[in-house]
Amino acid sequence: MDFKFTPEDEAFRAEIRDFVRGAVPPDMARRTRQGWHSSKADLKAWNRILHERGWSAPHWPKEFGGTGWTPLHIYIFEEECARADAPFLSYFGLRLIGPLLYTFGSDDHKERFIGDILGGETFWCQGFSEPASGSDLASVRTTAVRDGDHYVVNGQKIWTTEAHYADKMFCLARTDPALKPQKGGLSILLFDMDTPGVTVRPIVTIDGGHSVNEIFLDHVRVPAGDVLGKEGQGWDQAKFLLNNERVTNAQVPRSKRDLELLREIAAREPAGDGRMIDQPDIRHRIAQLEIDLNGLEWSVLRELFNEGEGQSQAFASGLKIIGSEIQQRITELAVDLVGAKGLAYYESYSDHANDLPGDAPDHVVGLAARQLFLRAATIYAGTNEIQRSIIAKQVFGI
Amino acid sequence: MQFTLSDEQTLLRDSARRFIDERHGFEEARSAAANPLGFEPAHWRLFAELGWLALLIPQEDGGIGGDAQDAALVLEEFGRGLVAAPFLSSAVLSAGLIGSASAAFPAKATLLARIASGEALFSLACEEAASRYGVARPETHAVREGSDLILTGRKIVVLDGVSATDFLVTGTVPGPDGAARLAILHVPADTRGLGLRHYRTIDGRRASDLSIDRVRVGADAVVASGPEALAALEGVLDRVRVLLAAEAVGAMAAAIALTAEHLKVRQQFGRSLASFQTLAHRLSEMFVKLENARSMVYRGLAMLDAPADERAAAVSATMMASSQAAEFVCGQAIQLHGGIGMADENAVGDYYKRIRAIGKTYGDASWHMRRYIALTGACKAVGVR
Repeated sequence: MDFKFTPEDEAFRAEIRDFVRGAVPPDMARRTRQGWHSSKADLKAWNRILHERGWSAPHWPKEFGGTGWTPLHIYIFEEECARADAPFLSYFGLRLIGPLLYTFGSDDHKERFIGDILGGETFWCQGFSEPASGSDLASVRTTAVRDGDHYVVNGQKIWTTEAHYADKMFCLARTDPALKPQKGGLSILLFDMDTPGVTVRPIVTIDGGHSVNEIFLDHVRVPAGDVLGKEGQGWDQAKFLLNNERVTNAQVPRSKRDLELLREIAAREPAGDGRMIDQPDIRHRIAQLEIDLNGLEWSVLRELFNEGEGQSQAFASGLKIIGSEIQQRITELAVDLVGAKGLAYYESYSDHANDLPGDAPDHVVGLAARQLFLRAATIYAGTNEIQRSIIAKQVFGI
Repeated sequence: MQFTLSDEQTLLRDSARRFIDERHGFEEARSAAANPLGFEPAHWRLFAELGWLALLIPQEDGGIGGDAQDAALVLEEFGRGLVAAPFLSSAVLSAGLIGSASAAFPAKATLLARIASGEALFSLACEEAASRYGVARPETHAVREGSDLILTGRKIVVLDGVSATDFLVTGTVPGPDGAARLAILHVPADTRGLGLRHYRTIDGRRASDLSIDRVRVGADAVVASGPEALAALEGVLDRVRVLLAAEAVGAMAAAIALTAEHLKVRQQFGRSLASFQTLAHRLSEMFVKLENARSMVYRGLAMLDAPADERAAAVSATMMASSQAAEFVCGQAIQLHGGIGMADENAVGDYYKRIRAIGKTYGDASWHMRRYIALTGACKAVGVR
């Protein structure tokens, strides 16, 4: 065991910090701090900036445009990006379909799609969840029926994040109703969002924001060649994604930044003759969050260093459970810190903070909305209840 | 950074594991703790033979020269096996304090050798009725009489006092300027004027109150004094705290294993308890908390070499996380056992009582939280960068 960062690690961090600090435009940083889902323009711009440096997908293998960094260095990179209030790059291309493409995709698919994902030119969305298929992915009903050299896709997808930004969808569908979903009945199809028959309808979430959508697929014709890998591999590909999200779902870099911002808010917010950060109850709550986040961070470090040694999915499930709960608690405390000002509702990216109560300081804008939105953190990426079932099965054979 | 064990560490862990598996099952743990000494002397001799009692003694002082990470591997197994031997008192706390003494403490080499061989059983007397885990200002004081020191005071909850051959006692001594300064004094257990009252602790172990009535020791009994004594005490206590957290991890893991087994075997309503999702999910939550506590033990170990304030804040963070996890894990282990979990004959209660005891040893939740807050200040975040 050796728990020290090496001088090389520290030098690497300094290099990243120097670049990232200078590269995030201040107005973009401000919008990221406000916490609404990033605009497509911001995501695209930041993706381009990183891509020019060769850093848009550090976690990818070098041969496909990644960096070849160690897991620790990738983590340090993400931490420094979060500290600089850089937007959190769109997940669906870089994190989900990108790795699926270089792992399962044909040479034709790699050639057509990977470059534009790296450059942030093409946005993707993930067509997995359906109205009757949430946690139970095997129950998807969307069908893709072969018709000559095409599949004809019919069905409905829901909770599709960034579908309104997306140029393309990777869509889980039943290609063979005779086979069990887990045994070759499912496939992932790739198609353009402007294909006739694709309709996107916004879903406004409880925070008043729009990041998720409902999608109707009505006789959408997809060339047979645009099934990912081979027909019938859908279940394995979906499971591959689950395994790929091991550490990212802990959201440690972002929560560390949020906690840092929270301390700044607590130091600015007045409380009688003093400040909120001087109040014993607030100090206690901040301390508890710091301690819990320290634990989560060290669990992530353990996970990063045990890579390849068969750490269980259960461990990653634990990271997701704790990480999502911490995100919720941080924003709950942040809203508490601003007192009655936390009642005011702000439209996304409003620049009118001063129209609202008490000439509200900038840090108030977006806070309450983010707290509301983060109720989703314990639901998305596998509800925390599903994670507990995974643990029960994997660790205890229950 | 590297989380995998070195070859030496693997050997050490395996030998500790083997000791628990082969010689320290639940019945042996019970009978060892029931020994009037509070532990089984044969086990102590074995620890000496295996080199564990010399683990943290530097090589130049004739020891193994291991570090806290090595000791944590042993302590995790001790937690699993409910080992009651005075390992922390003698081989960690006292060896650490004596090891940090300067050459001005003449008995250093002799005492370290006696600890390593297992011949000496040292116990640290630092807690007082009003000290509440603080070691800086004891109400035990020594005055000078000729070249001797005459020590008077009273210590409480002196762990492993019943078997101690020697005590390290905190108190003040007159400094060169005449002002009282903190000191650590070596007092053999048979010194005139020492009075011991023994009692059991909640986890079935032994502690003692120590009355110190005009105890005469030589000036050479001062192991350390002044700022060095305080730094040594706080450093060594922080090390022991993290090792206690490692022990708690072992206890939690064992409690979880017992509970999982119980849920699978026990039938109610015609099916196993494990088939009830609310119980299965509780068990999963116990696993999550255990792994979080384990991560915090690693972090605590990593921060033991940091500057004193950072170290102390990190250790208190580890202890908060560990005690909160342990309370949940071992408390729910009893809960999921149902009635049988309350029976004294069932091991699960022993794990619960042990982690409760750990949560009161050298600091409790309130003390650690206040220390953490005091050290992390209003505007700076230690650890969370």
